This record gives sequence, structure tokens and C-alpha cells, in this order.
Amino acid sequence: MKDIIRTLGLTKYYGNLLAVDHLSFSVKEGEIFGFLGPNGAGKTTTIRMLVGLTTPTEGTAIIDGFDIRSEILEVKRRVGVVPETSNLYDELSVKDNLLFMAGLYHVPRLEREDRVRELLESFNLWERKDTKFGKLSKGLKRRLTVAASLIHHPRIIFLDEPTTGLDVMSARSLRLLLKELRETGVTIFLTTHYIEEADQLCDRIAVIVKGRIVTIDTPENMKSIVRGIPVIEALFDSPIDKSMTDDLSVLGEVWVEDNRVRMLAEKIPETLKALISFATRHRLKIIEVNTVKPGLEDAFVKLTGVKPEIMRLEKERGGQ
Amino acid sequence: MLSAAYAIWLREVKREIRERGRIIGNLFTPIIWLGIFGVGLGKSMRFSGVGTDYLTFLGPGIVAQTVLFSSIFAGVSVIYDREYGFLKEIMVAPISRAEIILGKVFGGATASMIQGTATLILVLFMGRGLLPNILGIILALGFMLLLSLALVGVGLVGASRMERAGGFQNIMRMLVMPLFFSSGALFPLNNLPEWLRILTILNPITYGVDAIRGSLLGISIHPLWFNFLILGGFTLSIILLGAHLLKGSEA
Repeated sequence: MKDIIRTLGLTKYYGNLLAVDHLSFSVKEGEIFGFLGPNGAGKTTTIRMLVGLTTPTEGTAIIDGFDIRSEILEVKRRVGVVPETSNLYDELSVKDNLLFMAGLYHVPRLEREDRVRELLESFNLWERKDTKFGKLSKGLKRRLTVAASLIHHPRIIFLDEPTTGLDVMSARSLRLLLKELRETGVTIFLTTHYIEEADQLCDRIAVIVKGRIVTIDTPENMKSIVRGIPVIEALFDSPIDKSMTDDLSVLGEVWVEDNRVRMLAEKIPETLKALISFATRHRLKIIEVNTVKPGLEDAFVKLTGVKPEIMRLEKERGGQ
Repeated sequence: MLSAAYAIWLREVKREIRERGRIIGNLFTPIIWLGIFGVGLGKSMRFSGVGTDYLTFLGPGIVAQTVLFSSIFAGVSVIYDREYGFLKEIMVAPISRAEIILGKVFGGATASMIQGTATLILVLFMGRGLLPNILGIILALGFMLLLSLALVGVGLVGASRMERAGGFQNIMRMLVMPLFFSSGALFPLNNLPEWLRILTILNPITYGVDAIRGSLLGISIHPLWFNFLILGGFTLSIILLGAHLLKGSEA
């Protein structure tokens, strides 16, 4: 399949800070491509360059045959953008918002009503057409923002953290929607810090840390780098604090979630021994120990050294 | 080609019309100025040498004042748009900066014309001995539009330089009063001390006030064509400057 996005040493400095460091990668037509990484990794900056909100310091990208440096208007005609915070107008109705976007994207006047209706119907929003955008739930707002990005039949849409801040049900329905969208031939480029989301949704993932791509592959291939390394998961009778597990981490990556400790166990007997002495030392009862099949999360930790819970925490603190 | 500019314009106007309360609320200020300040001052001083009573003289000044304040407000809205990310959505659309600026400036100007026209109607009812002809009213509306385009342009220049609306609002709050007081809206500009006279000459609002009064009452310092040239030149340069500055800025 042909490459619809190709970046060539794409780089962005903010003053002395290197936000995006000579990225060269390509996105294939019709795939869901995910940028996975912690905060400040350069995900949003990369999107901002690709959609023309900011210019690269060095390098460039070719989108659907057009250079983002010299032909940005042509690029903009071919891409739709779903920003992290929905920025449609609170005081305009669902329908008026889309009509506004239709005007902005030069949809011919005679086709506007039909296009808006078609989009709202396929997004199950037609009954809400007269509701003010500000009165919609978060999930529906995001849904409408995605609909708005499609007004001009773009070939690619960019979504920045599409499910952040959504409840589980809305997030699930949005993911479903994106998969359906791929079936129509639209290429989807999204950023996320949810490893599970990248795993479920993306055809290929680029892991990005500190402005550089660590790896690009399918979720399956990524998981294979930890295949063969068992993961041991122990469930304790009370919550574990991250600071308690320092001495465990000499054996390998450790991560903690409530009562659960999970670790990559290159040598199972030693790991088990360490877990038992950890429990005695902290007067914890082991309720259950399992070996589990390593997932993308384990692969991610192995690849980047970044703990997934750190990404989650940073996000909740409201960084960008 | 201009459909994007039209969309932006329509959005601004819709936003204005939806807030009917504000239009009526904003009419309160000119009523105070004319009804209390104008009537009070008119009764207690002798107003001569201009050919009309004070309240009638004041009317066109208050029309200009309404345009002045509401246009500045429209200019500030550009910065709010940036602050809340609305500008971003416009910036990712496949449209030129010229179209964005055209839509924004005319949108802001239309919003302030709605206010200005409301005040104009008020003035036509309140001023005594004021029977302007249709041509006069049309001319006045034209000058109001020109004045408001100039001031939205000032907002645009501010928007391109400022990140936060608060900062710009503070600057405008500081500027708007001296501009208003030295524009000839409240008193005739003959018999002023030299320093104040220079201030009024440098103030672009002066020419707007003079032109609006000239159109409605036939009383003006400069001929209308002169006011038109000065105000038009100022408007054009400020909008071009704003467009140029906004070009280099990022949403």
C-alpha cells in the first residue's frame, strides 16, 4: 500500500528545547496509525506540524503528495483535525456548527445541507441537531468533533488523544467509530498515552519518547519482543505503595496497581523468592500468584523504560 | 472563494444576535450619557457658537462612543478565540489568512454596527431640532462602519501580539477613555489649549466623530471628504498591519 504520510527528518525546537528530533517515518494509506508515548514526548507537536499549525524547524513531511512546507493549503484540503479539546462553538447548535465548518472548508453551498445531514445521521446525532454544542455530553461532543473533521471528505484525519477524559462507554463507542471509519478508506493518525487503546485500535504503533521514535511496528510484533519472558503477577491483601518495591526492581521491571504487583521474570524461582520475602518484610499476605502472557504494556516498558502508570498519572495531573 | 470568510462573518453575527440581552443592556450606557449627562450639562451651561443645543450636539458623539466601545470589544474577542482554541480550528482549515482576517474584521464590525445603529435610532428620537435627511443617515452609517473597521483592526493588531485577553483588555481600558474624551464627542474642539488640540488632531477617532456629526447635523470641523480620507487611510493601514502581524503568529 502507498505511503500517505512520509516525514523526512521532521524536527521542532522551542528555543533550545528539542521537542521533536529528526523524525522519519511513514503512514500507509488506509491504516490506523498510533503515536504512543508519555507526556512531552512530542506527539502533539508532531501533529501540529503535520496540520500546519506550526512550522518545522528542520525537515519536512509529504502528505498525500504535498509538502507541508510549501503546499500547506493543499495539505489542509486533504486532512481533517480533531483537537484534544473540542473547540466547536458552545453557543451554536450541532447543525450550525457543522454548517460553519462546511463553509470554512469550502463545501459548495448546495451540498452543505445534505453533507451535514449525512454526517449527523451516520454519527447518530441527527436527533440532536438543534441542541447547543455546549449542552452535549463529553462523549457526544467528541463524536461531533470527529464528524466535523470529516466535513470535506478528507483522506486522513488526525486525532490528538481522542478518548482522553471520556467515560468507558463513550471511549469504546468512539473506538468502534474509528474502526468503521477505516473501512471507508480514511487513514487515521492518532496519539494516545493509553497502551491498551493503541493495542486494540492501531494497525501500527510508533512509540515516541523525548521526541524520538523508539520503534514502529504492529502491536503483535511489538509484543513478540517480550514473548518468552514470563510475567509474574502477585495479588496481595492490601494496596502496595510504589516506593516499597525498590528492592524488587533489581530483578527486572516492576509495576504496581493497587493490590497487584507485576514483574518481568527472567528467572522465575528468584522472582518468586523475592516476592515471598517482600511479603514477609511488609507483613502482606499473598492471595494469588499467576504467570501471565506478556502484553503490549510489558513490551512498552521493556522498549522505553517508561512505566505505564507514570504516563497515566501525568495525564491525570492535566499536563498536555 | 470567499465562502470561508462568509462563514466566519456569519458565525460572529450569529453570536452577537443570540445575545439580545447584551444589545439591550448596552443601550443603557448611551441612555445614561444622553439622558443624565447630556440633559444635566445642557441645562446648566451656556452652549454657544456651534449652532445647536448641547443634547443635539452630544448625540452623534454618543453614537461614535457606542461604536468605539463595542468595536474594541469585538477586537478583544479575537484574542478570546485564540485563548480558547477557536482560532486553531480556523487555522487548520484550508483558507488563507486574508480570508480569516476579512471574516473576523467584518464580523466584528457588523456586531458593533448593530449596537451603533440601536444608539443612532435612540439619538434620532432624543435630539431636538434634529431632522436629518435619509442621505445624512446613510452617510453616518457609512462613517460608523469605517470607524468600527478601524477599531476592530486595532483589536486585531493587539490579538496578534498578545497571548492573553486580560492584558489587552487592560491596555484598551487605559487607552479608550483618553481616546473618547479627546475625540470631540463631548465638547467642541475649538478654543482648546494647544497641547489638547494636538492630542485631538492625532486621535483618529476625532475624524470619525466629526464625520458622523457632520453627516447628521451638518456641523463639522473638517469637510466630510477630508474625514473620509484620514479615517479610511488609518483603517486600511491598521488592517494591513494586523494581517501582516497575524500572518507570522501561531494559533
